[in-house]
Amino acid sequence: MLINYLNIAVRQLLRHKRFSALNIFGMAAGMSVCMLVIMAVRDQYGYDDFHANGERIYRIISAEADKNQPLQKATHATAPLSLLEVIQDHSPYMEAGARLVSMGDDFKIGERVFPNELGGYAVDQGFLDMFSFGWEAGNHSDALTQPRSVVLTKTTARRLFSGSPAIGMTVQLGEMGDFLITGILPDPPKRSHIRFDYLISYPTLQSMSAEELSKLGINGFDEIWRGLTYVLLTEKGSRAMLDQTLASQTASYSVRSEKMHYIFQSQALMDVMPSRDLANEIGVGTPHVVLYFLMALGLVILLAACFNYVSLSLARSIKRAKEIGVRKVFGAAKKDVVRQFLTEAVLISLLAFVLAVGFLELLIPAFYNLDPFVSTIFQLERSFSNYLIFLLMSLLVGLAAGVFPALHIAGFQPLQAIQQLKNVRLFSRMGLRKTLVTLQLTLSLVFILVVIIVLKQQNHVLNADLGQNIENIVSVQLQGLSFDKFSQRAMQVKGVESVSSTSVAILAGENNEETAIFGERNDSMQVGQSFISQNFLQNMSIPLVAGVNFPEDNYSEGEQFAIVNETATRQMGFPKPDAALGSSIVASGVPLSIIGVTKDFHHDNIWFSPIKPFVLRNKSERAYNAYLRLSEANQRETLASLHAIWSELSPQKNWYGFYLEERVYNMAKFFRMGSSIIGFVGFLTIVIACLGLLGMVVYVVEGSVKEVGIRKVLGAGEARLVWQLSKGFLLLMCIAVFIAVPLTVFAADMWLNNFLMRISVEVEMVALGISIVLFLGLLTVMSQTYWAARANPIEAIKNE
Amino acid sequence: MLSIKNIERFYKTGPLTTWVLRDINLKVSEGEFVTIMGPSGSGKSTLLNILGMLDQPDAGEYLFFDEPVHRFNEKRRSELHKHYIGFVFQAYHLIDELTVYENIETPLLYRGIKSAERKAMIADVLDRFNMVAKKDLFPAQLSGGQQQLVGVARAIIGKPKLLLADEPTGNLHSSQGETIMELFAQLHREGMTIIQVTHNEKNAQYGTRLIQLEDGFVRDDAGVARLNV
Ligand SMILES: Nc1ncnc2c1ncn2[C@@H]1O[C@H](COP(=O)(O)OP(=O)(O)O)[C@@H](O)[C@H]1O
Ligand SMILES: [Mg+2]
Repeated sequence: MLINYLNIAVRQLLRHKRFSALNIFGMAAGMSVCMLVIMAVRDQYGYDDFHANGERIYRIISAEADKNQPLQKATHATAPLSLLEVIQDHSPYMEAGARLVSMGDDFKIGERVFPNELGGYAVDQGFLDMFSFGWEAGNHSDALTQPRSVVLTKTTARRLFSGSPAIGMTVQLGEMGDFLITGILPDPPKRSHIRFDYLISYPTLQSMSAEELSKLGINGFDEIWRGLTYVLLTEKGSRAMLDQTLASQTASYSVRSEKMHYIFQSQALMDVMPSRDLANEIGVGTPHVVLYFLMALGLVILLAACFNYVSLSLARSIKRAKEIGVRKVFGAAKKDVVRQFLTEAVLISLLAFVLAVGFLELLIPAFYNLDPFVSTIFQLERSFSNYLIFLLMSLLVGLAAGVFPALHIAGFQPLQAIQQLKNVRLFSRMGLRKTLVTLQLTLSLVFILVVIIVLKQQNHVLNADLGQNIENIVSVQLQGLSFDKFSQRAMQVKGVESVSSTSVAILAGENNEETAIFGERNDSMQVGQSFISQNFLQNMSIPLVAGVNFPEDNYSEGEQFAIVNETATRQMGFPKPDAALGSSIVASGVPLSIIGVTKDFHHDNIWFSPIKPFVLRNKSERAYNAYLRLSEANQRETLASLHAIWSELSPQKNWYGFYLEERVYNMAKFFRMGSSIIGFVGFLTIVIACLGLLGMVVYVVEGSVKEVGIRKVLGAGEARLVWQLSKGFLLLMCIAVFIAVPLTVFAADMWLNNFLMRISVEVEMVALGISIVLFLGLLTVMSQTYWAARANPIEAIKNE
Repeated sequence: MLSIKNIERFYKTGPLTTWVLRDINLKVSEGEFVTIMGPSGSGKSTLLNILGMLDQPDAGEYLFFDEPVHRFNEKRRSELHKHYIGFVFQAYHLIDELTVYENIETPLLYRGIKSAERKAMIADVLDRFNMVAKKDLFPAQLSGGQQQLVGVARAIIGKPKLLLADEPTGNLHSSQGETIMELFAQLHREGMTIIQVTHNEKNAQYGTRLIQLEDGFVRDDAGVARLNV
């Protein structure tokens, strides 16, 4: 039976080549995009799956806050370095534990320097015991138990020693001094959230003085910022036990601290990636949102591909009515017909699968080329399991796409199906075709509108007006160096236009929350606050909307003035910025008078944090960061000179300067990548929807060939024929617009409401979407009808 | 073998009711060769389709081997139809994508007959109809007469008890038509019950009984001999 079904399916395919090609091509296009999405998503969910004990490994995540502020859930990937020892003491269920403190420094062997190229961690010996990064050489069981031991990855060893044996040799790690190489590891796999070039022993840190530690950014072992903690539970241990211990430690850390309280929680290793928006996250990976969006798009594409198949098959079913009628008369039950058509659909889907695997090979490099960042995060694997999933997906698509036409066709009454052939009317069943074309148009239009809106929104966020000019601004962390000293020298460097200071590194990820009290009723609000130099606003091109800048000699009579942003004045209840001038505000206990109001400017993470009320103050001793504006030309030289000044003024400390724009750009890299991936997949979706449209148009025109023939015999010109056929299409287009536009605009509005910075849907976008569909649709209709109109009319009439 | 009682069939188009069959009573015994004649539009095809269980009457009873077909659901009806009834159409209605061999095979597939047995049965029929050489051709490559031969072969391959033929020779030249009618006569001699619709009086001669329809009523029901008088 199956052979008979396949037999007729193959003959159908060969007999109606155009129809088959469209069906297979359309389905393959949809499938290949879906395959890409599956590869990408599986890759992201497959992070860290290579550890033999993975299900028993947990990371401890944490948060801290002022005692009077609520704490519900961990916000940081890091935890106090002292925590591990406490848990170890309390718990028989712990098999191993490890702390990770990120290190990054110049390597030195003899006179050869490898500056700032390598990254690594200080880790406990437990790291080697619990994780399965593998081992190449050295003593695995105690490589990291002694201070001043270092383990290198294979690549690092090759880079430093170019092939000669490394074990037992010594390397110098920046200011920390000499380390003995005790082992060699393989390079960590790409799909690991922990990546490193070397590991030094944690006992090294324990042997350091407080001063040395603070140079590494470790200010006491109770701080939650600096280290990550991982634990491996015993076979008998359970997460609940760990959580219980963590809860009790939450309490005791909070009791110990005067001002703060804490929360510690466990996070399963497999939940670390894809990333969950924790601060201090070390793993790089696509955020969940982007993955969800991708999965949704993948599903929509599959549905679109199925829909293409369904509509084409329904259109064709009219022509196959006779066959089905005859089969039923000669004994076919409904289920036999259903099986036959499912077989056909599955056959097509399998052919599409083969083609899709080919398409995928084109998509993969295109995907990697979307953004330089993509290849560091994604590793699309051509693994057997992936292809198995693709095959299953294809079968499923075949069944899903086939089931509706199959049921529809199997429902034909045999007599009517056969008789249909007798009275072929010119417009018979045009209703169904028109409905299908309209649906297809609607679908295409919805897709195009969605992609336009999503990309506009992404672009809007990416090109957001920051309220200041950050081009050519270099931010330098002064690390205790006097700003006046530094700026005096820096101003003399050619290419430095101006030097200003700010206590909080605005836009560079720092934030300082304070409480400000204002008004007669002593209302209070949370504000961001920074101490800036008098020329800061000018330097950053932040305009004032009311009042004036700080006076030049603001220091002499003690601090008197504050400048606030517009949002602050609004929050304080002033109808207009001017009205706030002269009123008083108490910021972190100091009463000040508002002297100026700035236009709103972004100060925090522009993707996640809204512009909050902000208070700018002017006090020289808080100048922690220098913001320098460089002129356009020869910035390399300018930077080199600044570097030299730094080494001279502050020889103990590393230069830590960066372009502000780069920093903001880096914060956006996930967004940028997400937006290009969405754009890419969205574009493919449109192509697929248009393929479906083309299919329907081809079909409708094929059905009108006879009509065209008759009219031509009656003397109609080609142009007129094309117009007559296109006219009908325009009407359907109008209907599609009436369905698609309100639907999409409504849905888009709800979606956009989730964003801090959002666009509104504008007429131009809708018009653009409609024009694209209209253009593509008319192109196909006109070319197809032209083809039909050119055909020999006698042939056409005879053929029907 | 079958009997129908008070069969009615009508179509409603808007407020209008068009009667196609009215109060038809009929008994057919095994081994009969019945011819139905009547002017175009008199309801012949409709009656045949009802007997073949492809169409349902709006009122009346239909007993087939004492089974009350009018009370059966679609599934049981089509089971009955599948096992007992063969159909020959005026327009042949072969499946264009299948070869002669495969067209004849179709009813056997739906009856779940094993492959070896199928082969033997088809070989027999092809032999009998002198079509062995044409078994791999597609319908479009055959003449009308040959196509109708395939149609008959397909109808009888499953050894139905009842063969229904709606103007089987209507599209054929007279010599081709004769071949088909000879075949029917032979099948009848072998014991098959046949009901045919025809306009051709010569074809009616092959039958043993003649039913005349007019405007949905049975006008006359008699042996063929009486017609000749
Ligand atoms: N689906 C239908 N709707 C309305 N009238 C129909 C339908 N099918 C058949 N008829 C009418 O029923 C009558 C009998 O048709 P039919 O049995 O085919 O006649 P015959 O085969 O004797 O020529 C005709 O007048 C025809 O127009
Ligand atoms: Mg008829």
